[in-house]
Amino acid sequence: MTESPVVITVTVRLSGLLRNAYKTSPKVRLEQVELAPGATVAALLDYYGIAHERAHILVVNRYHATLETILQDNDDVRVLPLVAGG
Amino acid sequence: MSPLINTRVYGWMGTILRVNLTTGEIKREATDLEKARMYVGSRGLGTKILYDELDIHCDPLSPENMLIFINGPLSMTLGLSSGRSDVVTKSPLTGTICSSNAGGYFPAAFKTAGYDAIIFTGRAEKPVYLFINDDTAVLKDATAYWGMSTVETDHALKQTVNPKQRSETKTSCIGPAGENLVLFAGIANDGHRLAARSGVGAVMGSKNLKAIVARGTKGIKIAEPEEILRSNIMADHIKTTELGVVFEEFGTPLFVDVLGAVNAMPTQNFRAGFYEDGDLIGGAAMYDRTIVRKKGCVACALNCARNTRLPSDSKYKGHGDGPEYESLYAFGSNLLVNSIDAVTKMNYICNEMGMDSIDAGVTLSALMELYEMGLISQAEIGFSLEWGDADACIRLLEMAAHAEGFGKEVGRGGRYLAEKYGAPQVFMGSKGQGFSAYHPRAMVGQGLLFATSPEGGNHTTGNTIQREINGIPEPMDPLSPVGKPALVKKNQDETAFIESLGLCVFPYMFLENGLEVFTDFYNAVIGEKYSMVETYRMGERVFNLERMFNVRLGFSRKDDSLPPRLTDEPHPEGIGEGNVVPLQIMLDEYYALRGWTADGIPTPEKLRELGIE
Repeated sequence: MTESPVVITVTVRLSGLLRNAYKTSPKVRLEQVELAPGATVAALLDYYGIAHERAHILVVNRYHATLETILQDNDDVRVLPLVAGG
Repeated sequence: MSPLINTRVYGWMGTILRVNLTTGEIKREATDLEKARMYVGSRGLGTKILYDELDIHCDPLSPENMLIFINGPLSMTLGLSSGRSDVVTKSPLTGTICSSNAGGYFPAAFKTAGYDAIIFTGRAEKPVYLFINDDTAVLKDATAYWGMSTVETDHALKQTVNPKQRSETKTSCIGPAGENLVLFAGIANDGHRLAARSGVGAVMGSKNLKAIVARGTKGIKIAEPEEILRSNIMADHIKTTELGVVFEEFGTPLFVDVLGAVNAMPTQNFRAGFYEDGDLIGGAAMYDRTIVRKKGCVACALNCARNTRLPSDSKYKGHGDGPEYESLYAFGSNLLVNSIDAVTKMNYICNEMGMDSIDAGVTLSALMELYEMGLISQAEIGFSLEWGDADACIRLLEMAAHAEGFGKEVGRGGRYLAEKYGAPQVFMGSKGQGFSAYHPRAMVGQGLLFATSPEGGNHTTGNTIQREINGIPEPMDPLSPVGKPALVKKNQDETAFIESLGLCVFPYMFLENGLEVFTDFYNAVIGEKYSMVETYRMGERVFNLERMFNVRLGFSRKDDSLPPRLTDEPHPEGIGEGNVVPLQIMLDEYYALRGWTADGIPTPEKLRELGIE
């Protein structure tokens, strides 16, 4: 029997439009984030402090996802915000 | 020759320069302000002049074709992003009308010298350039500059002027590609900013016109100057919006992330919309390796251009501007080249040789597919041409620009090559012009835009990205045709108005009320009180006149086409999997909205309504 992982690691690309949310530097577009097993996309947004209503397009492993989508180890997550155009 | 005495009117300098390159005669005439009122300026007024005067059936590379450099009434008014102008001519690439738009500092220089437009006809016996210094306008021998790159030409010509005036002197020129009639050759402002599309550089080369050198010191009359200040406040506002901030910070390479996420970044000649190695050619890779500083056009708030230099550890050498997002697609994902250094090098070659990077990339990707299909051999090309082979692409670009060996064939463009080698379906373009960096199967409105653009696969006639991807002012399903014909019509008509003013379209795209803002700006400059309904109608008039130019040449619904890859082959895995572009359904609705027949011809009623004779 395989043990459940203690954490899962997902790869995150925030569109440059979410620059202020980067934990490191706006120049770094690709980050590995560790989350608890069973974490949702919403939990990932919370990690970054991104308001859920700003998540215009959520993409996990190249398909549309929702806030409720449960993330798996090694998932590829991309977030495009709903932008304020002026 | 004394300059034409003309009472200048608001926004306009009042004078057009006509240069007959065959006879060497240079004449001044008054700008036709009635035409300017109807067709706004720049792209619109240039089209009207061409429509009225050109034998439209002429060979685009013959002396009969006209080459029009033209500003708009808002060009160089120091208002919001007012540093753009158009080059209008009959395109040798598409056989249609075309307006190739560019910025930099040259448009401002020839306007402040006193000219709303410079119209070239004929062909010089030997290479010449036009030298303008306020009221002086003379043709000079350009033999010594023929063969020089755009950057070298810009530098060399500036050395010929009075050192005290050098920094105010600006150039627009062709490189070897234009001289050798490469059908996707462009014209470079200030050595770097290209009026790239539709082969305008080949028209300039066919006339033996190497360059225009301009310096101007005249002011532009503005009806309500205090309103320009308000426009600048608007510029400050745009800079503070989220999109404005990020755009200023990242420039157009930002879109590698955005379009990649939604499966809309064209990859491997449009087989796919996602490039596995996108991170290696995106904005972050540029930050890591090449970006030196930000650059902008005259009077620009956004500074979207990037001055770059290849690092010392690179196998390639060079420095210059870009690449922009379009080139990152054209030479990166489209060719499966995963090196930002190689993509940057190809972009430098295009800038220096004076070639459109989009059509250069689309031509190379068509060739790679022909090679893969076994329809063209290593012996014909001179070397192998596998996907991702950056060095082979670099060799072909240089050979094309210099018309060497197989490069002569490359210089005739992707449609020609695909047809010649028996697989016309591998050319990813419309009306002979290659597509820009938006995959229509993942944003079908963009497909309709490409199909109906007067000059073929060009995104700048009304890009749908704000609605279909960014969700401004509200989201719209990019995979569905619902609402797209109306969206495309609106974008095309509004963009025709904005471009004709002499403005960049980016601020318009960033604002939810762009037409309103620029209607106010237009009124403030020229002292009128047009409503948005009226200015929208002006844009619609420009777009319909362009359509009529093409209709007179026999263009119709059959030419508003997309390759079967986009309409029949399903989009591969990822968002939009299985989607195709439902073009014919959208065309039916689009033509009806436009008041055109089912064959795409503007009706006499529509033309009367718009005041087009």
